Parts: sequence; structure tokens; C-alpha cells
Amino acid sequence: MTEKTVDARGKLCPAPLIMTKQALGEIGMGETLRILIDNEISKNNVERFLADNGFVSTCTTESGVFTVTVAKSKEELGKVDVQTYCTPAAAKAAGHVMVIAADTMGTGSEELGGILMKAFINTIKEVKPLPSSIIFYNSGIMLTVEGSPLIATLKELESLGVSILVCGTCVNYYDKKDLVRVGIVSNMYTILETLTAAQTVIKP
Amino acid sequence: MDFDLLTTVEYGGCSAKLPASKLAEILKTLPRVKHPDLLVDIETHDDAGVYRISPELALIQTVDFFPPVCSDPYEFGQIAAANALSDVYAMGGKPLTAMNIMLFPSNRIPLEVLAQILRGGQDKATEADCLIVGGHTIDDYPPKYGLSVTGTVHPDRIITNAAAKPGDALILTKPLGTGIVIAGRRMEMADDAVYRGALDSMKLLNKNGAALMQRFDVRSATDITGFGLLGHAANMARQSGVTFRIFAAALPLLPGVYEIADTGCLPGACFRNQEWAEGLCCFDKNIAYTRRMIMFDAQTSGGLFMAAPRKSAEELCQELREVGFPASAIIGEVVQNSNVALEVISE
Repeated sequence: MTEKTVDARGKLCPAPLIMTKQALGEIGMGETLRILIDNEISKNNVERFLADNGFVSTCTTESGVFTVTVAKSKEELGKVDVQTYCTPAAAKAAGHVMVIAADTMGTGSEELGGILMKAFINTIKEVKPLPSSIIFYNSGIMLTVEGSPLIATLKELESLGVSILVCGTCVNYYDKKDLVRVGIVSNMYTILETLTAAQTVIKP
Repeated sequence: MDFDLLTTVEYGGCSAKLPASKLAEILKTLPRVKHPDLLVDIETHDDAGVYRISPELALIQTVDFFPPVCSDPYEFGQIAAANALSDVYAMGGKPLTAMNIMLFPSNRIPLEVLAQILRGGQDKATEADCLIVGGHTIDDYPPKYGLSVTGTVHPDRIITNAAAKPGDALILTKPLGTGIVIAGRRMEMADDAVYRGALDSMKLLNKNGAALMQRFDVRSATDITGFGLLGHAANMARQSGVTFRIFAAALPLLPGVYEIADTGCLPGACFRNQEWAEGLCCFDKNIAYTRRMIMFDAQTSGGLFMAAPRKSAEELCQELREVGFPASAIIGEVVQNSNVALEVISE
């Protein structure tokens, strides 16, 4: 197995990327490329570039120098794995959808219900795969408005590709218009569409 | 002028900006500013703030400054000024007055360079009928320049980033790729013609574009700058409560940019923008990696991105081409909210 090393230490951004792409073009199928990088941002960008182009890379660090290792597993760059990017139609039908119909979870103690719902929302991102959408209605919308301790968590889920839908009728009913801090204010049609297309619906 | 400003920012790109999501989190912790006359505030992350001072008059307030994006100081001044003024145009207004913001080292660069930057800014402001009434300078390296701008608009004619409607056509007035071309120039991969193309595009005021938007009754627009096409488009789609469908093949690109980007010459800002905006996007699998990254490329002094009424969109586009924006194109459409802010399709 032949191995080529590209020394990108001391090179200014985006030189490490250019050197990586060029070297990948020069080595043969199955051969390994090692790229030496001395700054974390460049290393992250190179790893991202390789991943987005369908390559699997590993990285080791020693004395402030990162070594990114990748095997040339395919000839053509620029063709991405189908799983990585969804088509618009697939976006609607993907995976499971969560329905948050109240700001409490379970029946019995209200106080306990509030604690449980908070824990539920905070744990969503620990379990893969993530839901494709989370729908909030009735008192559930309280978790998405100004003052809710869950906004940062929900925003993080949003940034990971989870769609947050907040029922508009409910927002108006509870007089929380302009106070929704995460997600999209939605309507019954979209909510119904989302539920119908889902493979599974989870309601805590 | 012999001094090359690009030498001051060789390490610039990757480390310059704060990540959008972290900044948004910090801003949320500040007390909310509310006032009956504050017509556009920080909540919608729009291009500027707008404050009504009478039933017929509202003030637009905006500020922008950054380190050099080109070698020549005079051109840097022109571009920085055009970039700052652009936010006023994106709101549908006219610039009125501005102040210089200058950070410049006291003893590393000839002071004549500072004079040239200011001259470039002044000339561009004059072109915009905007009066520079003063400014502030402090000692810093690398140099940075820009303007704080006050503009005016009729309170009923404000063009916000939150009013796109399903059925509207999406128009972009300037070609994409300034970040990639500038990085390419630093890597000595962009020839003079390509570099010149990017500089001329950045110097262009969005003034005529704003006038046409008002004439054609466009109610929603933004300008494409640091967060790239997809960053700014995603924000506008979300604030409007709709989905934008972007036609990847219809995007106007700066001449030479695809070839440069294809070698892997992608500035750090592309990856930063990708990180925070891609969760809001859905891409067709046929779109090439390079094209996708160009859509995340941070622009300097980019074009207007508007949601125009469908019926008159072709005509508006044609008129834009005739008033100094030959690359203007319809690059997408607004559809009902489909759970994702942007759908990027390959046709």
C-alpha cells in the first residue's frame, strides 16, 4: 500500500484544502494520503471537505500537529453519498415525528409533569436517529416562547436539522404572538401533512 | 499606491468572524428593546434598524466595517463604503449621512494608505448622495474600515426580510463568489481579469436596485453578504414563515469562480456558514460539491436578494440588467412552508 504525505504545516488557509484535493487526484485507487496540518480550523475544514466528498478519514494529534489520514476509495470527487443529503420530498416523509401536546408529561402531579417534560426535551438529542420534526400545540407551545428554559436546546435541535413546528392558533389563543423564540409558527394543514407523512409519531 | 493591503490579512479569513449561532445566543440574553416607533428591530435579524420619526418619515440605521479584501487602499475604501450603504438599500431606503469608522496602525503602514482608503469611501458615499459628516479613528492592526450609515424611508414602504409570500419569484442582482475569488487571489490562482471582475462587482452600489424594488412594489428583500447566499436566504425564509426553492443551475457566478473553487480553494468562512446554515437546507443529491460550497461563500458587498411578485418578476429582472446589474437572474421561488427553510434543487 503506497502512502503519500502532504505537508501543509505553516500553510495559510485555504492552501491545505487545495493541497489535499490535488494530492487525491494524483494518487491511485486504494492508496493512502496523509496530510500534516498545524492549525485546528484548517484540520476541521479538511476533514469536513473529505467527509462531504464521500471519504472516510481519521486524525491523530502529536505535539500540536494533526495528521489526517484518508484512503482513496473512489475516483470522482464531488459526488456525494445519497444518505447525506435529502431530497425535498424525502424531507417530508423522513423518520419519526414528535408531538408535544402539553408543557407537562404524564398525568398526576403537575410539578412532576413539568420536570419530566424538561428532561424529555433535553434528552432528545442523545438518542439517534433524531426526529425529523417536533410539533408543539396547546400548552406545549409554552416551551417555545420567551421565558422557556428549553429554547437553547430546541434551537440546537433545529440546527441539527430537526424541524420545530409551533401551532399558530395556539400561539394566538395564549396571546404569545411575537414571543415564539424557536421554530416556525405553523398551521393545522402543515401539522396534519407532517403527521400523515411520518412513519412513527411519538407523544410523551 | 505601492502598499498591498492584502498582505495585512494573510491569516485573515478563518479567524475573523464570530459564529452566528453563538452571537445569536448572546443577543438573546440582552434586554429586549421595544418601542411603538421602532418599526424594525433586532428580533428579525434584518439588515438595519428602522425608527419612525413622523407618519411620513422613518430613519434607517446600520453599521459595517472589516479588514481589507483587496490590495489597493482606494478600492478597499470604495468597497467598504458600498458594503455599508447596501443595508440601507436592502431596506428600500436612501442613504442620508454617514460616519467613517477607521482602525489603522500608527506606525506600521504609511499614513498615505489611510488617506487613500478614506478617499475611496468618500467618493463612493458621494456617488450615493450620502454625506460623510465625520468619523472616528483608533490605532489597530490589521487596518479595518467601514461606515455607520443613517438613511431614510417612508414608514409604509419599508422592505423587510420577513414578508416573502408563496408565489413570489426570487431574484439575485449580483453574481456569487467574491470570497472565493479573493482567497484565490491570495493563493495566486485568480488572474487579473477574474480578480477585477470581483472588485468591480463589490464596488457596485445597490442604489438602482433599491429604486426598482420600490417601483415594482417588492415588499421583501435582503442583501447577500457575510453569511453567503444560503445563510441570508434561510434567515429571510424563516422570518417570512415560508420555504424558498433555490434553482442551483440558475445562480449567477463570477467569471472564473467555479474553476478556483473546484481546486479546493474554499475560504474558512464557507465552512463556518455551512455549519450553521446547512441544517436549514435540503439539497438535491445531484448538486456538485463545488456548487454547494459557492452557495455558502461569504460575500462582500453582494447583490440584493428579493422576493418579487411573480407577474412582474421577468420585467423587473430585465430592468435590473439594464441599470448596471447584467447578471441579475431569477434564482428561485417562494413556496408554502414545507418544514425546511431552503430547498436547493438541481434544475
